Amino acid sequence: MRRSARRRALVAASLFVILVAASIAAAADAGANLESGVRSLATTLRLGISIASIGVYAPTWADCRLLAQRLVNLLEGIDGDHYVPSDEGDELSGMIPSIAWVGERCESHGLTAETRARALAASQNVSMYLSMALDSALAVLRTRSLESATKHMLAVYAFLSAACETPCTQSTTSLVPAIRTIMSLLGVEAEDID
Amino acid sequence: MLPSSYPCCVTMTLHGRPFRAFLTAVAAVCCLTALGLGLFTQVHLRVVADAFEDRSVSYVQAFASSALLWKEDPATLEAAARLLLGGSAVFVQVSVDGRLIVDVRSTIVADIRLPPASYTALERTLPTDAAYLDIAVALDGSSVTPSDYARMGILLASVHAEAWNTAWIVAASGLGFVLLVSTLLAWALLTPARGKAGVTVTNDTPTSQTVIAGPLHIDFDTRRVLVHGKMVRFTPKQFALLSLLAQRPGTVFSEREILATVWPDSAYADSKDIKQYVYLIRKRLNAAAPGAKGLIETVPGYGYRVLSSADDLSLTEH
Repeated sequence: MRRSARRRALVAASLFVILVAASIAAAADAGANLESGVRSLATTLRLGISIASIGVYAPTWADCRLLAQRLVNLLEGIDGDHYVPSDEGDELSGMIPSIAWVGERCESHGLTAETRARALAASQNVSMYLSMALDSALAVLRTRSLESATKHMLAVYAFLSAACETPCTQSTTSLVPAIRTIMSLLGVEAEDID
Repeated sequence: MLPSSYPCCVTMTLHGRPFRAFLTAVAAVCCLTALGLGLFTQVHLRVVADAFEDRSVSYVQAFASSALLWKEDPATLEAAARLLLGGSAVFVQVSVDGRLIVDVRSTIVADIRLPPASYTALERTLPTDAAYLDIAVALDGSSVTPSDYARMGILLASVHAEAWNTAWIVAASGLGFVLLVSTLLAWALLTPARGKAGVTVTNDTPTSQTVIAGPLHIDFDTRRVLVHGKMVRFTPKQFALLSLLAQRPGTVFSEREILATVWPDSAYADSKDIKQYVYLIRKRLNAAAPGAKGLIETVPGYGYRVLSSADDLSLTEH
């Protein structure tokens, strides 16, 4: 009887230890997922800025449209309303769904209340910048003149740069918190966007 | 003395000369428009080609800036290069440290040997006769870096197509302009015409007015009447009567109209006078040109008229 009770207690203790270890591992994994998600988003953002910067100088409307469609794909992801499969055949998660996911994860992530609030505010800023970039990219697709397409592509570039929170070199200009702030708050190195 | 309404009636009739003026004006407008369109097309093509070259160089420079950032990630760089092949680019190359890390080409240049990169935009031609701009820029923005560069071939067909589209739109506008001007000229030159075909009024100067009705030629300034080129002399009343009838050839003038115009102050003039004067006019015309008396026709019960060219003027021929 006593031996049985001791065995039960041992099993319960083992289960507790396993559960604690599992929850700690899950939390660590979630943190790693969030960081890798933010890092991936920053990388995609940088790619988007590169494409937009090329698109601004597209020699023809068709070239500008081609690059705008790629940007729409990057922004919306494979489940987007305006996603058009490309020859690349890549499975894009989309920057807009990604930043929404980052925001959700920030809420459940083990951040202090103040840090969480700042991260959420920054993610909302990024989300809005990306939405405005999407609107401009779609405007490029709608227009049929190179001048107008260039104007909208410039807007895409500006919104993506703002989302990237790109600082002006040696400038004291204040920045609206965006992806760089999120990376800083999460302790992710900003080398992916530098 | 001519009736007061006479000059007014004279200026309302037209013949071939204004029509020739119209054709001349239309031809001039067409020539000027064609010349303008030709010049515009040439200038437009040149301007568009220059702008295209400038943008293309900037395009390659922007790609080179991105390539500099992505050179450590050739897969992403190649994906971006392949994306550009979907547009005007026919090939994209990126060289780092003298080694081509990206060399993607569309099918039309897949098997050809590209000439060495040049750091100025050069127009080259593919074996398929398609022209393209060959642009190479240094990755770091310097002008002389033969080892690190981004190079792109950009087809000129698209810009030519865009330029010609614009030229066609302008040409269509020019055609519309010519049609509009022609219509306005036609309206301006032909609308005042009230006379019948075969009649000409020239009004070269305010003091020079002439009526031509078939073989009949009346000059109001000199009061001369020619029939088949021969001068015929008339008294003032005869001249006034003939002028009245000739101002609208083919139109029948009633005896009342003739009396009111030729004998406005006479209470005694009547149809016999008209008949007498018509007889005398016919006689003088016939004396000058046999058969010319038939130029004035009596329309029983209505009045008299001078035959127009639409009528059978064979009687008046020599």
